[in-house]
Amino acid sequence: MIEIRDLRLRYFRKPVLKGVSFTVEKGQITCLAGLNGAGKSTVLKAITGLVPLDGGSIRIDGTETALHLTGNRHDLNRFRVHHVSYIPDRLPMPPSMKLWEALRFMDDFYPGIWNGGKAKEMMAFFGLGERERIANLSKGNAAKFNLVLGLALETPYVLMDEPFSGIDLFSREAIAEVFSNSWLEDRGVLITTHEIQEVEHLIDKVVMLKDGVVAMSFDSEEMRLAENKSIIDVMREVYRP
Amino acid sequence: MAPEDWLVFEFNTREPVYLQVVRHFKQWIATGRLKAGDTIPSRRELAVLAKINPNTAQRAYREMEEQRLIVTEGNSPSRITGDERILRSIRTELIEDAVDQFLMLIKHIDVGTEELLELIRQKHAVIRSGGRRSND
Amino acid sequence: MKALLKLIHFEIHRFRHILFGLMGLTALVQIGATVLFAIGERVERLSEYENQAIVPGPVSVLEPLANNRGLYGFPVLICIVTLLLYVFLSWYREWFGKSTLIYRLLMLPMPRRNIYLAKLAALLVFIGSLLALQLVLLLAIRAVFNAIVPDEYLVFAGLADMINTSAVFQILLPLSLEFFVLFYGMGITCVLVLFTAVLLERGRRPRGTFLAAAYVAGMAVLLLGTIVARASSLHEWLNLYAYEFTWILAGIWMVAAAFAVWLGFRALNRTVSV
Repeated sequence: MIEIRDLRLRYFRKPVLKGVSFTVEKGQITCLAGLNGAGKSTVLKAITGLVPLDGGSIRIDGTETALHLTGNRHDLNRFRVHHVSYIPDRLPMPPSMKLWEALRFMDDFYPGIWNGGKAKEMMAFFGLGERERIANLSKGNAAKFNLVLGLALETPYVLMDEPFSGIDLFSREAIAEVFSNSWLEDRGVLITTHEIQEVEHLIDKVVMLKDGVVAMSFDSEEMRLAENKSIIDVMREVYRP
Repeated sequence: MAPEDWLVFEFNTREPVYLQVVRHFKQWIATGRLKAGDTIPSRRELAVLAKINPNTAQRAYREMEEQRLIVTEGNSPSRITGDERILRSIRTELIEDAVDQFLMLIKHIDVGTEELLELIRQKHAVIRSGGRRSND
Repeated sequence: MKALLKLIHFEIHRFRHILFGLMGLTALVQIGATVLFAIGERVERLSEYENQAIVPGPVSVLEPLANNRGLYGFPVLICIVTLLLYVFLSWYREWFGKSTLIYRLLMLPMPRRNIYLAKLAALLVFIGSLLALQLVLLLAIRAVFNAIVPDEYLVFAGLADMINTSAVFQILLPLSLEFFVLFYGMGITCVLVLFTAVLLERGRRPRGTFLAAAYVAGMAVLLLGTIVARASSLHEWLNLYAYEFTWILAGIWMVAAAFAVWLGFRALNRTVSV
């Protein structure tokens, strides 16, 4: 389980996160929701160790990993990489590389975590050709390859930042299938997305960020069972201007 | 059932997805697509086929087991129940649900039961004969 | 260690086109110029021999080198400017490139200091290979010159003399070990300070920019101060020989270098932000 407790962050003088707390359980798909600028991306980056915070705790399977608390000793950087795979909203690979070179890079730099067989399986599933150059990929294919790079790393947790943003319908459908098949099996997934309608029926838990804190957190099926409300219904209530 | 038959296209986002899956199973049973004793996909297989979250498939199967729609023996794949009473009650349940919905829709329209029954008789005859004619 | 080597290879590989370009440019300009000058000398002597007017004297490659320092130095200047840009851009492009590679670098399962060390090592490899190339080119242009100008007019030119023809070569390929260590030590210290300054700047705004500026200012004062001190007669007042004083000041530079590395590692681990 990833336990997020009391995350705080100010950007210049403005507080962005004022005490965000929630958990991400293994085997569940959790959606971090919020309006633009609410700090969803920042939370994901903080878990990954890419953004130092002003306060708060990030425990992954019991081990504290927040940068500002631990100074990121070597063993922690390794621990974090072995436990969390972060898939940002853009491809973190040199654009001049061909896809097969990028796959070989991952194999080279992530021994023991990278599953080359799974990567090939995913490439086939998404219909991606290895000889293509990253810079020449369409947006949809770049998003798919980004998923390959992130999901073929055998980590117990996966963070996805806007996996559907700006992508064509068919690519979105292909990406949505990832949430049903075995690639996310038993993993804890935390995703942020604006296209909630794409994945409404696939999400287990919703955590809603508002004004720098978690305004609401619920199990989507229980909300439907108890109150007949869809996730979007709840979002309308919480974020009503 | 072919793999594509398991796919559910639209989900009502205000009703628990797992209950909708259970209802789909009931429909497949009532319409004969799933017969008594048929094996059904595993939870994970269903998730892929129906494009749902594996947890949803898990919940649906648990619900169906509780309602005794499906039986799982040890490690073998789950099967549709062979119990005739349950199968028949599904059929009845679905028809009743449809009738309830229908009656809800026309609740505020002033129409007598006899007129309703005559209309149903006509339309039902058309459907059963396989033809589909526009209103005469 | 293996991971660091892989990263160093990655950094060098990314830069290889530019490196080869620089090498090619330098070779082309220096050898090309030498060929032209050599032909000029040859023609001058052969034609005049025929006219029996004034018989020109012997010549060596030192002459074109000394007379055309700007031309021979030009590609070297390009190399220096390019490497200087590398010091900054090799970091900044990770944040501002289309691929924001910094995400990938910070997420590698290796100590983050490897990123710093890899860029440093790559830079040293680039500098080393360009210096080696320059030495080879000096030998090459001498060989070319000697091949074109008729033997009877040739005079021996030693490598050391060739290096002494221009300030550029004297500084880059110093003949004394002491000067080599001092000069390149100072250069590397500057690179380390700049690396660390960039990493400080890449912390969360606005603190990052402020810290980087303060650090650079502080280091500039300290290091320039040592140069001013050395240039003055301070060593007399301190009762030291000049060269003793030089090495004491060098010690300050070494401490500055160590501090830069420590601070840079710290920034990578604690304050760097995407």
